[in-house]
Amino acid sequence: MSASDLPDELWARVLELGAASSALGFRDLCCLAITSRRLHRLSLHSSLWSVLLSRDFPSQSQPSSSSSSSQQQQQVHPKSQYKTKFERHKVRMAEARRRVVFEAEARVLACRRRLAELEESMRAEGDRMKAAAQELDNLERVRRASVALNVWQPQVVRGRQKQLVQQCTVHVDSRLSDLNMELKVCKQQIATSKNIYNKEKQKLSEYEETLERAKYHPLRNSHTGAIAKEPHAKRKKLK
Amino acid sequence: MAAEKGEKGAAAKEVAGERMVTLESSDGEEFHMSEAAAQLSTLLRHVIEGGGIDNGIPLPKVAARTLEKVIMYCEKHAKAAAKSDSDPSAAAGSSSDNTAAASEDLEKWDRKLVNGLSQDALFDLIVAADYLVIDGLLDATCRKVADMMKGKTPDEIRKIFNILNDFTKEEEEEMRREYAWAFDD
Repeated sequence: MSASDLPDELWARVLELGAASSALGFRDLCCLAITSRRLHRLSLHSSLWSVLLSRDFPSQSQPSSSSSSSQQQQQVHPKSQYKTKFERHKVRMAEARRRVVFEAEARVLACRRRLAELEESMRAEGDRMKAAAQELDNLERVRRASVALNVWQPQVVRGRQKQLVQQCTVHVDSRLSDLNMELKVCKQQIATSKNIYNKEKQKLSEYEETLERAKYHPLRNSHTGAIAKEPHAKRKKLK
Repeated sequence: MAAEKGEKGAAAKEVAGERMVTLESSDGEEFHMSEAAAQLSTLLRHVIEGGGIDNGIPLPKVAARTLEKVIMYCEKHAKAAAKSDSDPSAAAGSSSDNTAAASEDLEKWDRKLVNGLSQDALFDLIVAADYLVIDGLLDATCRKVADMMKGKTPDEIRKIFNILNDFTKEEEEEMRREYAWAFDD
């Protein structure tokens, strides 16, 4: 069964449970209202908004006014009541929302910084590896030369090889083993860093997605971030 | 009343001392379920009490793979209820910790069950739980759908649940304006 086939009463139950368990808040109901006609209708159920009203504005129970106005209160849809209270507390609500966006942005920035650091360290490791490989090459040449000196060589070649060996100031064999070890370590480091880098990259895309969600505004085009122009639309009353 | 073990034996057999009921899914598959587990479904409870289960209970609205999950849920919860009933430490003072941990484990199990379902299977299970009147299962599955919607934008909700945007362009723009208050900062 697909979501569209689910009968209304069951969708209503989903929304009720969501509101009651705090899984769904006022913004979620608003997003649902924009999603499709059916969800719009379902999101308007008084009981949902009553739950949110009593949870988000608890101290603001029935105002102690005359009986006539409290009678009026009962006839006002909880969603409108919610909106009224919301606008009265706009500052507080707006601050809360800005905090969420700020935290989401901070996470994205921290992630990007970590990625840059990882890139840098992988680059440095790569350089070290290149240097080690180069030295290894040179030492190999020296070793081959010293081995070759044990057999007869034409004088020209012999002279060159002797020069190579004499110019080398390090103990060839032990340096060779050190370098091989270093190459191994470099490779491992790069592999590990790459692994972490990929995981971090995945986290970054999740954080960026969360940030986009936090910044959602129905009148703002999600791609450009600009506020959509007010259209000359026919005002239709939706049932 | 001797328990007859013929081909079309009484649906309420005894298996290892436990009474079982036979259920038939919409696609003709037979399932067995302990009566204790079946009690979790108000519908099945009434059918059993009414005594109309001699040849098994047909469930034309529930497919086999969904019924499987329903039975898993009911057996698990029936066992958990039986365990807490027979828990010797229930008399002692330490019971509150045990029962709290046990119910937490059960909740985790429920979450794992619904998390492992495809979307289609999840909605099938909601309909089945509603039809069979199994409140706990209905709650757990509906909660999961609500969790899936949490924090999502309208576009994301449409994408996730494959919901058609049936507003006209003007209507949608009006909707956006009507609800912009909730997102202003």
